[in-house]
Amino acid sequence: MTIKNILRSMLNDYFIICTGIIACQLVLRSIYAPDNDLTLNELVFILFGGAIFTLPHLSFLSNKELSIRQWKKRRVIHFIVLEITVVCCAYLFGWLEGANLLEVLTLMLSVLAVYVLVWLISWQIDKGSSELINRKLAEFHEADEETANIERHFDK
Amino acid sequence: MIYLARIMIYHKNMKISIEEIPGAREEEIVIRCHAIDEGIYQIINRIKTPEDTVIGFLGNQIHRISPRDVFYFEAVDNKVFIYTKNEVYESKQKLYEIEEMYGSRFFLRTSKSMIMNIKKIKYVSPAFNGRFEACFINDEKQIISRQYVGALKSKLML
Repeated sequence: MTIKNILRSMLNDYFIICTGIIACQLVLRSIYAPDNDLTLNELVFILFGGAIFTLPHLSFLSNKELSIRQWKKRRVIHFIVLEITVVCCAYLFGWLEGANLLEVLTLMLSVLAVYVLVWLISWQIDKGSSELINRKLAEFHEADEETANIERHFDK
Repeated sequence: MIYLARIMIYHKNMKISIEEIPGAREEEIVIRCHAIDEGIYQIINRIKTPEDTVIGFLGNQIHRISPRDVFYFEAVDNKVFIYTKNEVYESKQKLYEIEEMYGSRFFLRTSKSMIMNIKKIKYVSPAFNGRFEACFINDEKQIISRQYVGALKSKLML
Protein backbone atom coordinates (compact mmCIF):
# COMPACT_ATOMS: atom_id res chain seq x y z
CA MET A 1 0.00 0.00 0.00
CA THR A 2 1.25 3.45 -0.88
CA ILE A 3 1.42 6.21 1.75
CA LYS A 4 -1.68 7.85 0.24
CA ASN A 5 -3.70 4.63 0.61
CA ILE A 6 -2.32 4.00 4.09
CA LEU A 7 -3.30 7.51 5.26
CA ARG A 8 -6.77 7.07 3.76
CA SER A 9 -7.12 3.70 5.48
CA MET A 10 -5.82 5.14 8.79
CA LEU A 11 -8.29 8.01 8.67
CA ASN A 12 -11.12 5.63 7.86
CA ASP A 13 -10.17 3.30 10.72
CA TYR A 14 -9.66 6.22 13.11
CA PHE A 15 -13.31 7.21 12.78
CA ILE A 16 -14.46 3.58 13.02
CA ILE A 17 -12.37 3.02 16.20
CA CYS A 18 -13.56 6.23 17.88
CA THR A 19 -17.20 5.56 16.99
CA GLY A 20 -16.85 1.92 18.12
CA ILE A 21 -15.34 2.86 21.50
CA ILE A 22 -17.99 5.52 22.13
CA ALA A 23 -20.79 3.07 21.15
CA CYS A 24 -19.33 0.39 23.48
CA GLN A 25 -19.04 2.94 26.28
CA LEU A 26 -22.66 3.94 25.75
CA VAL A 27 -23.91 0.34 25.91
CA LEU A 28 -21.69 -0.84 28.80
CA ARG A 29 -22.17 2.28 30.92
CA SER A 30 -25.93 2.21 30.33
CA ILE A 31 -26.01 -1.35 31.68
CA TYR A 32 -23.33 -1.39 34.42
CA ALA A 33 -22.81 2.25 35.43
CA PRO A 34 -25.73 4.46 34.35
CA ASP A 35 -24.63 7.28 36.68
CA ASN A 36 -21.02 7.27 35.46
CA ASP A 37 -20.83 9.83 32.62
CA LEU A 38 -17.95 10.14 30.17
CA THR A 39 -15.51 12.78 31.43
CA LEU A 40 -13.63 15.27 29.28
CA ASN A 41 -10.38 13.39 29.98
CA GLU A 42 -11.90 10.09 28.85
CA LEU A 43 -13.07 11.68 25.61
CA VAL A 44 -9.55 13.00 24.98
CA PHE A 45 -8.20 9.48 25.64
CA ILE A 46 -10.64 8.00 23.12
CA LEU A 47 -9.71 10.52 20.43
CA PHE A 48 -5.98 10.23 21.19
CA GLY A 49 -6.10 6.40 21.54
CA GLY A 50 -7.97 6.08 18.23
CA ALA A 51 -5.10 7.90 16.50
CA ILE A 52 -2.45 5.73 18.20
CA PHE A 53 -4.23 2.47 17.30
CA THR A 54 -4.17 3.35 13.60
CA LEU A 55 -0.37 3.81 13.59
CA PRO A 56 0.40 0.04 13.20
CA HIS A 57 -1.16 0.39 9.72
CA LEU A 58 2.21 1.77 8.64
CA SER A 59 3.50 -1.83 8.67
CA PHE A 60 1.68 -2.30 5.32
CA LEU A 61 3.62 0.55 3.69
CA SER A 62 5.06 -0.53 0.33
CA ASN A 63 5.64 1.08 -3.06
CA LYS A 64 4.72 -2.15 -4.84
CA GLU A 65 1.62 -4.30 -4.55
CA LEU A 66 2.32 -6.84 -1.80
CA SER A 67 2.12 -10.53 -2.68
CA ILE A 68 -0.09 -12.79 -0.52
CA ARG A 69 3.00 -14.14 1.28
CA GLN A 70 4.31 -10.61 2.00
CA TRP A 71 0.82 -9.56 3.09
CA LYS A 72 0.59 -12.42 5.59
CA LYS A 73 3.97 -11.45 7.09
CA ARG A 74 2.93 -7.80 7.38
CA ARG A 75 -0.39 -8.88 8.89
CA VAL A 76 1.45 -10.78 11.67
CA ILE A 77 3.72 -7.76 12.27
CA HIS A 78 0.65 -5.49 12.33
CA PHE A 79 -1.06 -7.70 14.89
CA ILE A 80 1.99 -7.86 17.18
CA VAL A 81 2.53 -4.08 17.00
CA LEU A 82 -1.19 -3.52 17.66
CA GLU A 83 -1.14 -5.81 20.72
CA ILE A 84 1.93 -3.99 22.11
CA THR A 85 0.28 -0.59 21.42
CA VAL A 86 -2.95 -1.60 23.16
CA VAL A 87 -1.12 -3.01 26.23
CA CYS A 88 1.14 0.08 26.44
CA CYS A 89 -1.89 2.41 26.17
CA ALA A 90 -3.71 0.36 28.79
CA TYR A 91 -0.80 0.88 31.20
CA LEU A 92 -0.35 4.56 30.34
CA PHE A 93 -4.03 5.45 30.58
CA GLY A 94 -4.65 3.26 33.63
CA TRP A 95 -7.18 0.94 31.97
CA LEU A 96 -5.67 -2.04 33.82
CA GLU A 97 -6.67 -1.62 37.44
CA GLY A 98 -4.65 -4.44 39.00
CA ALA A 99 -2.04 -4.59 36.23
CA ASN A 100 -1.57 -8.32 36.77
CA LEU A 101 -0.69 -10.90 34.11
CA LEU A 102 -4.22 -12.34 33.91
CA GLU A 103 -5.67 -8.91 33.16
CA VAL A 104 -3.05 -8.26 30.48
CA LEU A 105 -3.74 -11.68 28.92
CA THR A 106 -7.50 -11.04 28.96
CA LEU A 107 -6.95 -7.73 27.18
CA MET A 108 -4.63 -9.34 24.60
CA LEU A 109 -7.13 -12.17 23.99
CA SER A 110 -9.94 -9.62 23.55
CA VAL A 111 -7.86 -7.83 20.90
CA LEU A 112 -7.15 -11.19 19.21
CA ALA A 113 -10.86 -12.10 19.23
CA VAL A 114 -11.90 -8.77 17.66
CA TYR A 115 -9.02 -9.01 15.15
CA VAL A 116 -10.02 -12.53 14.05
CA LEU A 117 -13.72 -11.60 13.92
CA VAL A 118 -13.08 -8.55 11.71
CA TRP A 119 -10.79 -10.65 9.48
CA LEU A 120 -13.41 -13.41 9.14
CA ILE A 121 -16.17 -10.94 8.26
CA SER A 122 -14.03 -9.21 5.62
CA TRP A 123 -12.93 -12.63 4.25
CA GLN A 124 -16.57 -13.69 3.89
CA ILE A 125 -17.45 -10.44 2.08
CA ASP A 126 -14.47 -10.89 -0.28
CA LYS A 127 -15.35 -14.55 -0.86
CA GLY A 128 -18.89 -13.55 -1.87
CA SER A 129 -17.51 -10.92 -4.25
CA SER A 130 -15.04 -13.38 -5.78
CA GLU A 131 -17.83 -15.91 -6.40
CA LEU A 132 -19.87 -13.24 -8.23
CA ILE A 133 -16.85 -12.18 -10.28
CA ASN A 134 -16.04 -15.81 -11.15
CA ARG A 135 -19.59 -16.42 -12.32
CA LYS A 136 -19.36 -13.43 -14.67
CA LEU A 137 -15.88 -14.49 -15.81
CA ALA A 138 -17.28 -17.92 -16.70
CA GLU A 139 -20.00 -16.23 -18.81
CA PHE A 140 -17.30 -14.12 -20.44
CA HIS A 141 -15.24 -17.20 -21.34
CA GLU A 142 -18.32 -19.02 -22.60
CA ALA A 143 -19.11 -16.08 -24.93
CA ASP A 144 -15.49 -15.97 -26.07
CA GLU A 145 -15.53 -19.68 -26.85
CA GLU A 146 -18.71 -19.30 -28.90
CA THR A 147 -17.19 -16.35 -30.80
CA ALA A 148 -14.10 -18.47 -31.49
CA ASN A 149 -16.37 -21.25 -32.78
CA ILE A 150 -18.04 -18.81 -35.18
CA GLU A 151 -14.63 -17.61 -36.36
CA ARG A 152 -13.55 -21.23 -36.90
CA HIS A 153 -16.79 -21.78 -38.87
CA PHE A 154 -15.83 -18.92 -41.22
CA ASP A 155 -12.24 -20.11 -41.53
CA LYS A 156 -13.37 -23.49 -42.95
CA MET B 1 -31.23 -16.56 -43.87
CA ILE B 2 -28.89 -18.90 -41.97
CA TYR B 3 -29.20 -18.95 -38.21
CA LEU B 4 -25.66 -19.38 -36.98
CA ALA B 5 -25.50 -19.24 -33.21
CA ARG B 6 -26.69 -17.55 -30.05
CA ILE B 7 -23.87 -15.71 -28.32
CA MET B 8 -23.22 -13.54 -25.30
CA ILE B 9 -21.52 -10.45 -26.64
CA TYR B 10 -20.81 -7.42 -24.44
CA HIS B 11 -23.30 -8.84 -21.94
CA LYS B 12 -26.07 -9.09 -24.49
CA ASN B 13 -27.52 -12.47 -25.35
CA MET B 14 -27.94 -12.13 -29.11
CA LYS B 15 -28.73 -14.31 -32.04
CA ILE B 16 -26.38 -14.20 -35.03
CA SER B 17 -27.98 -14.66 -38.43
CA ILE B 18 -26.36 -14.41 -41.83
CA GLU B 19 -28.21 -13.86 -45.06
CA GLU B 20 -26.56 -14.49 -48.40
CA ILE B 21 -27.58 -11.83 -50.94
CA PRO B 22 -27.10 -11.41 -54.69
CA GLY B 23 -23.92 -9.64 -55.79
CA ALA B 24 -25.89 -6.58 -56.96
CA ARG B 25 -27.07 -5.74 -53.46
CA GLU B 26 -24.83 -3.85 -51.05
CA GLU B 27 -23.45 -5.88 -48.14
CA GLU B 28 -24.55 -4.54 -44.76
CA ILE B 29 -24.67 -5.28 -41.07
CA VAL B 30 -28.06 -4.77 -39.41
CA ILE B 31 -28.35 -4.88 -35.63
CA ARG B 32 -31.84 -5.61 -34.31
CA CYS B 33 -32.03 -4.57 -30.67
CA HIS B 34 -34.53 -3.54 -28.02
CA ALA B 35 -32.66 -0.32 -27.22
CA ILE B 36 -29.39 1.33 -28.26
CA ASP B 37 -27.46 0.96 -25.03
CA GLU B 38 -23.80 0.72 -24.00
CA GLY B 39 -23.59 -2.90 -25.14
CA ILE B 40 -24.76 -1.97 -28.64
CA TYR B 41 -22.22 0.87 -28.84
CA GLN B 42 -19.50 -1.59 -27.82
CA ILE B 43 -20.55 -3.99 -30.59
CA ILE B 44 -20.52 -1.13 -33.13
CA ASN B 45 -17.06 -0.04 -31.94
CA ARG B 46 -15.83 -3.60 -32.23
CA ILE B 47 -17.09 -3.86 -35.81
CA LYS B 48 -15.67 -0.46 -36.79
CA THR B 49 -12.25 -0.98 -35.18
CA PRO B 50 -9.95 -3.16 -37.25
CA GLU B 51 -7.96 -5.82 -35.40
CA ASP B 52 -4.94 -3.91 -34.12
CA THR B 53 -1.64 -5.19 -32.90
CA VAL B 54 0.67 -4.41 -30.05
CA ILE B 55 4.31 -3.85 -30.86
CA GLY B 56 6.67 -5.79 -28.61
CA PHE B 57 10.45 -5.91 -28.60
CA LEU B 58 12.36 -9.11 -27.88
CA GLY B 59 16.05 -8.28 -27.98
CA ASN B 60 16.62 -6.67 -31.38
CA GLN B 61 13.51 -8.22 -32.89
CA ILE B 62 10.23 -6.39 -33.31
CA HIS B 63 7.08 -8.48 -32.92
CA ARG B 64 3.46 -7.72 -33.77
CA ILE B 65 1.30 -9.23 -31.06
CA SER B 66 -2.47 -9.60 -31.16
CA PRO B 67 -4.05 -8.05 -28.03
CA ARG B 68 -5.98 -11.33 -27.68
CA ASP B 69 -2.69 -13.11 -26.93
CA VAL B 70 -1.62 -10.68 -24.21
CA PHE B 71 -2.13 -11.86 -20.64
CA TYR B 72 -1.10 -8.61 -18.99
CA PHE B 73 1.05 -5.48 -19.26
CA GLU B 74 3.31 -4.63 -16.36
CA ALA B 75 5.41 -1.56 -15.60
CA VAL B 76 8.68 -2.38 -13.84
CA ASP B 77 11.32 0.30 -13.19
CA ASN B 78 9.99 2.70 -15.84
CA LYS B 79 9.79 -0.07 -18.46
CA VAL B 80 6.61 -1.69 -19.68
CA PHE B 81 6.53 -5.42 -20.40
CA ILE B 82 3.98 -7.44 -22.37
CA TYR B 83 3.32 -10.91 -20.99
CA THR B 84 1.99 -13.57 -23.36
CA LYS B 85 1.68 -17.33 -22.85
CA ASN B 86 5.31 -18.10 -23.69
CA GLU B 87 7.15 -14.80 -24.06
CA VAL B 88 7.77 -11.50 -22.30
CA TYR B 89 8.21 -8.57 -24.67
CA GLU B 90 9.18 -5.01 -23.90
CA SER B 91 6.88 -2.21 -24.99
CA LYS B 92 7.95 1.32 -25.80
CA GLN B 93 4.54 2.64 -24.78
CA LYS B 94 3.64 3.96 -21.36
CA LEU B 95 1.16 2.05 -19.26
CA TYR B 96 -1.37 4.91 -19.36
CA GLU B 97 -1.15 4.98 -23.18
CA ILE B 98 -1.88 1.23 -23.29
CA GLU B 99 -4.79 1.79 -20.90
CA GLU B 100 -6.17 4.53 -23.17
CA MET B 101 -5.84 2.31 -26.25
CA TYR B 102 -7.24 -0.95 -24.90
CA GLY B 103 -9.07 0.05 -21.72
CA SER B 104 -12.45 0.18 -23.47
CA ARG B 105 -12.10 -3.45 -24.55
CA PHE B 106 -11.24 -6.45 -22.40
CA PHE B 107 -8.22 -4.86 -20.76
CA LEU B 108 -8.43 -3.41 -17.30
CA ARG B 109 -6.08 -1.56 -14.96
CA THR B 110 -5.74 -3.82 -11.91
CA SER B 111 -2.97 -2.06 -9.98
CA LYS B 112 -0.73 0.97 -10.26
CA SER B 113 1.66 -1.03 -12.42
CA MET B 114 -0.53 -3.58 -14.22
CA ILE B 115 -3.20 -3.91 -16.92
CA MET B 116 -4.79 -7.34 -17.24
CA ASN B 117 -6.65 -9.07 -20.05
CA ILE B 118 -9.93 -10.18 -18.45
CA LYS B 119 -10.33 -12.92 -21.04
CA LYS B 120 -7.16 -14.57 -19.82
CA ILE B 121 -8.26 -14.67 -16.17
CA LYS B 122 -9.46 -18.14 -15.18
CA TYR B 123 -10.73 -17.16 -11.73
CA VAL B 124 -10.15 -14.75 -8.85
CA SER B 125 -9.78 -15.54 -5.16
CA PRO B 126 -9.72 -13.26 -2.11
CA ALA B 127 -6.25 -11.99 -1.22
CA PHE B 128 -6.87 -10.14 2.07
CA ASN B 129 -8.04 -6.60 2.72
CA GLY B 130 -10.40 -6.31 -0.22
CA ARG B 131 -7.77 -7.36 -2.75
CA PHE B 132 -8.10 -10.31 -5.12
CA GLU B 133 -5.67 -12.69 -6.71
CA ALA B 134 -6.27 -13.34 -10.40
CA CYS B 135 -5.31 -16.77 -11.69
CA PHE B 136 -4.61 -16.75 -15.44
CA ILE B 137 -5.31 -19.62 -17.81
CA ASN B 138 -1.61 -20.57 -17.62
CA ASP B 139 -1.99 -20.75 -13.79
CA GLU B 140 0.11 -17.62 -13.22
CA LYS B 141 -1.20 -15.47 -10.38
CA GLN B 142 -1.24 -11.70 -9.98
CA ILE B 143 -2.82 -9.34 -7.45
CA ILE B 144 -5.77 -7.05 -8.22
CA SER B 145 -5.54 -3.96 -6.00
CA ARG B 146 -8.43 -3.02 -3.77
CA GLN B 147 -9.06 0.31 -5.53
CA TYR B 148 -9.44 -1.40 -8.94
CA VAL B 149 -11.88 -4.14 -7.84
CA GLY B 150 -14.81 -1.74 -8.45
CA ALA B 151 -13.64 -1.18 -12.04
CA LEU B 152 -13.43 -4.95 -12.57
CA LYS B 153 -16.98 -5.38 -11.30
CA SER B 154 -18.20 -2.57 -13.59
CA LYS B 155 -16.44 -4.17 -16.55
CA LEU B 156 -18.21 -7.44 -15.79
CA MET B 157 -21.51 -5.54 -15.30
CA LEU B 158 -21.78 -6.49 -11.62
